[in-house]
Amino acid sequence: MSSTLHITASQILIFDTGPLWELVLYSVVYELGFSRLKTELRHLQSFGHFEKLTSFIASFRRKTTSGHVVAEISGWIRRTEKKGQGNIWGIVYKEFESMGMDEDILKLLEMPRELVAHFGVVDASVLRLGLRFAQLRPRILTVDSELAAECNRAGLDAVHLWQVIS
Amino acid sequence: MSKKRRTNLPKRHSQRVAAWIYGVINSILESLQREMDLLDRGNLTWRSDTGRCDVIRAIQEYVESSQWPNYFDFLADNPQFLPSFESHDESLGKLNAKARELYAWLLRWEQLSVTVEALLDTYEGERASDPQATSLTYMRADLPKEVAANLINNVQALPSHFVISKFWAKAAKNLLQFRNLPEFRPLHIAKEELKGNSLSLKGTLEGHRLALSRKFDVPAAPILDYLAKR
Repeated sequence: MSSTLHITASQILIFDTGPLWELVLYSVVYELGFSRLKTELRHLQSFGHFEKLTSFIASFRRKTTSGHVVAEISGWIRRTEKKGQGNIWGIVYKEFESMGMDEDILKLLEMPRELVAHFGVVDASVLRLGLRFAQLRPRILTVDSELAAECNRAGLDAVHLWQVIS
Repeated sequence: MSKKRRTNLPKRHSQRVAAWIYGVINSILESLQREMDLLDRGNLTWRSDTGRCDVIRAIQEYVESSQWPNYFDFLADNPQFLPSFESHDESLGKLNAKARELYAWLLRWEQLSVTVEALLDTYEGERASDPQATSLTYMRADLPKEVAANLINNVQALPSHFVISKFWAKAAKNLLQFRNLPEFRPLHIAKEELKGNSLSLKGTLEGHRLALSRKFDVPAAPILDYLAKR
């Protein structure tokens, strides 16, 4: 992990959908043995990648995401084989419980229409969540370069997953 | 001559048999392999909130619900599998029951809470030298429950982003020794029984798939060209 990624304990990590989905998929594939989903993993290609990501997450005392991200995860789970969906949800619950993940709800009307129209409601919710926690110097973890750039423009610190695992 | 050629032609492909193989047998085989890999590691995927193994399931649950009509059709014409399916499910039921009994016993067993308490105190004392180690004092009451589930699932290590990861890294060596207690023996026996059942069932199903493939000239896995011609 590069030194620029070192953070202080006062920060909060905000998850976009991509990194959370990678984390869940990795456990589903390598802990539970659902090897068919291995092709869905786009970033975490080795145990080393997984370790770097989990160490990065562990360095934050607080972790949160938006309800919209959870809804997007739900949509992605529904695209998998039905008989394995319960197992994937089992991992999602375990991840949330075990890392002490918080979840914040943002109302649609709290988000500027232009932002939602341009980025979609999920990315807009992550950005707004970042602004909500601005005083805690949040860091946003994403696989979406466009969202990361927009966060940076808004004065928020965003990091792409590949920066964490490379 | 022409009559002889006709008898040498491949046997008529059966869509019904293809449905048994692709929709039922292959799904069960894939799940049994996963089940045996988990059991080999001692990871029962058992959860205290449901009181059962999360990933290891009854045979019917290994088949997509949309394929259940084919599952029942398979059993109707291949009833010899019914006893081995039932035997698997009974072994699983026994394993779940033993895990529940053991979990209840572990929570009653004073030595577990005393040991967890002592290990937690040591962890909290050493935490000052590791700023990333999270304080777990707020979990003091619930930690024995988490530990008991980890012992049942033979958890050797936890990913570093889990809140109790650093505690577990320090405490696991001591705590996992409890798995050698006589009270764990019924769980180990039930696990081995299920593993034996699954291994035997897997072998029988693979043999049956081969026999069906030969008899009905249906490949063991779908081939796009093959399906396109049907």
